[in-house]
Amino acid sequence: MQSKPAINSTVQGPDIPIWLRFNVRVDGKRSRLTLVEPNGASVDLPAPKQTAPDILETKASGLKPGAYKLQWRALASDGHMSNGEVDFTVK
Amino acid sequence: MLKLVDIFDYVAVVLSAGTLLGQSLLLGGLVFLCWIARPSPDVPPEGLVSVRAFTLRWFRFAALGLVAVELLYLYVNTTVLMASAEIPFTEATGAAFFIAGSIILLAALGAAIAGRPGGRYTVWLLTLFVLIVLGASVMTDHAASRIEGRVPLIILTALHEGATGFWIGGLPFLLLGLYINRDRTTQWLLTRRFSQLALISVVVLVFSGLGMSLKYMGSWGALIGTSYGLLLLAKITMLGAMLALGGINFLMLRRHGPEQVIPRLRRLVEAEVGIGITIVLSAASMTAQPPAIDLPNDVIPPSHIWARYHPVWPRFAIPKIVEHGPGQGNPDTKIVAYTTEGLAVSARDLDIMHQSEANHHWMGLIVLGMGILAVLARTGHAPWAEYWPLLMIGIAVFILLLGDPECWPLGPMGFWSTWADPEIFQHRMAALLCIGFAIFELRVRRSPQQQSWQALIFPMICAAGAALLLTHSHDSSNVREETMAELSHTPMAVLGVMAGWSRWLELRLPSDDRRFVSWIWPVCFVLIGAGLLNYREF
Repeated sequence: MQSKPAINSTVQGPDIPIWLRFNVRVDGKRSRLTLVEPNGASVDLPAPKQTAPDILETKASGLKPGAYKLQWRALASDGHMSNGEVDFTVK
Repeated sequence: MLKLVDIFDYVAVVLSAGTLLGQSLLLGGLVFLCWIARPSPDVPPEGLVSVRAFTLRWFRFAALGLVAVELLYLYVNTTVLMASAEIPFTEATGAAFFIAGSIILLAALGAAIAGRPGGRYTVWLLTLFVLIVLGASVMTDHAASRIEGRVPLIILTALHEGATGFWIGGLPFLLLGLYINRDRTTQWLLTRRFSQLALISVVVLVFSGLGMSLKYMGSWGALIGTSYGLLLLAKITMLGAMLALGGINFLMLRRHGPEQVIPRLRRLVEAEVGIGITIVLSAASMTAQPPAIDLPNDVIPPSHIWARYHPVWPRFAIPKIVEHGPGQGNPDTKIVAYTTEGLAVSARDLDIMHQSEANHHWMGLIVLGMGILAVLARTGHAPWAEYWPLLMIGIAVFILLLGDPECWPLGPMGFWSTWADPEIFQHRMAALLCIGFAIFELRVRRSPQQQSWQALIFPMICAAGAALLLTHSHDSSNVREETMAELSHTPMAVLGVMAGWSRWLELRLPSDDRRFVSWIWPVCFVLIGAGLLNYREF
């Protein structure tokens, strides 16, 4: 899986595009992206868009500097649900 | 709710296996009905008519079974999706697996209805419904979600599942056919026709499997370094056993006459059915694992495997797990070490791992003892060794005394006051079950003639337990640790399958043919015991 922001990277805020590329086709309508803020609060990101069968895209706005965790839950076309996390920092 | 999702994830694997099994039976039943039991001028027509009627009846049972499995599959997977993605039911119904599962359900229902005797277009309708089931099922396989090479993989998967259905799914119908019709000429015709079909199916199965492996594995190291690769190896080993049995059938059919072949062939086919079902179960486990090529950074190198599993003296001391309250420096969470695969381990985790290892090692000692005694008994020079089932009482004693270290005699809690604890109650019931089973198996062995059906219970439990081990996943937050656990459990599961079905054959084959198989299961027991004694979590 590839992501932007990349794992453990530092990006310029406050608005950042989120891009995830999987190694299988995913069902964007039934996949969820959540952002865990530096204070521990979870925020659901806008419904991801799909520019290709293996890509999920959305954006996070108004981010203050700090450490964030992007949590993703994706439904593959074969019916398997998988999840993961991407840690990144906003400066 | 998340705990429920974990359980449902496991149930989903079992239900996927049920779907694969159901579709295989429909494919096998259809080909048996249309091809194997087709009319022939060489045998009395009424014999084949009754075989076809019986096949159709069991085909309909299989179709109804698939309907039930699919209903459960849809319920479980939809519940998991709704809980994990936090979406309503209406949104979940648009998921590809829901659409494919619904199509399978309706097609299986259609096949059950169309399979009524006397229908004008029965065969055509059944063919249509079975092809729909196969097509929809392939769309829930890895192939459907691949980015590259999707179409060739879908074709290979369809060929692989089709060949599996014709061969493994057809075997139970061959057994039924041989059971319903005792006329040797008809039995001979059915077995010879099936042998030809099996041969073609095996070729398709092997070549399509090879094609998929080239696409899904990524490297040779992934064969032993990933869960997917280990399951593939397990499948190949069991396929090898089935091919050995099928090869014996093939040669017998071409070298001997019906009177010599049929009684032996029926028993060999029984074992083939059992091993075949286990292969389908492990195939379902594989579909629940990411293909090895998707985990290039999580292939465990041989050096790590050696570091974990090189032989060392077993651990028999069981550490006490001390619960620390707040204000004691929190030793439960302080990291004291890392496993070879990078899993952080606290002092408490380490104690739990050592306790688990000691439990496995004690069990290994008992199973090794059972195996060695069974081997000695086979030599014919140690009749006293036939009492090996009594060692199962050792398992019971272990569970009662050491299985719950917080209770007497290891822990502060009393033996009698802890019966109400559900987990401890289950452990003690399992211990009593071991005692009962030890006495039962010993009685069976002391009087095998009088209780022949009872003798089959032990191999069936052995084979079923091993099959369960193949579908059982070891949940871990660390993919590599999960593979490490599979590295020890998967070979034991395969040995368990071999032990169960070789013991089955020892009981079922004519007495002249039992000698070789009677050695297989005791040796498997020895190897399982040795494997348990070398089990490691750290």
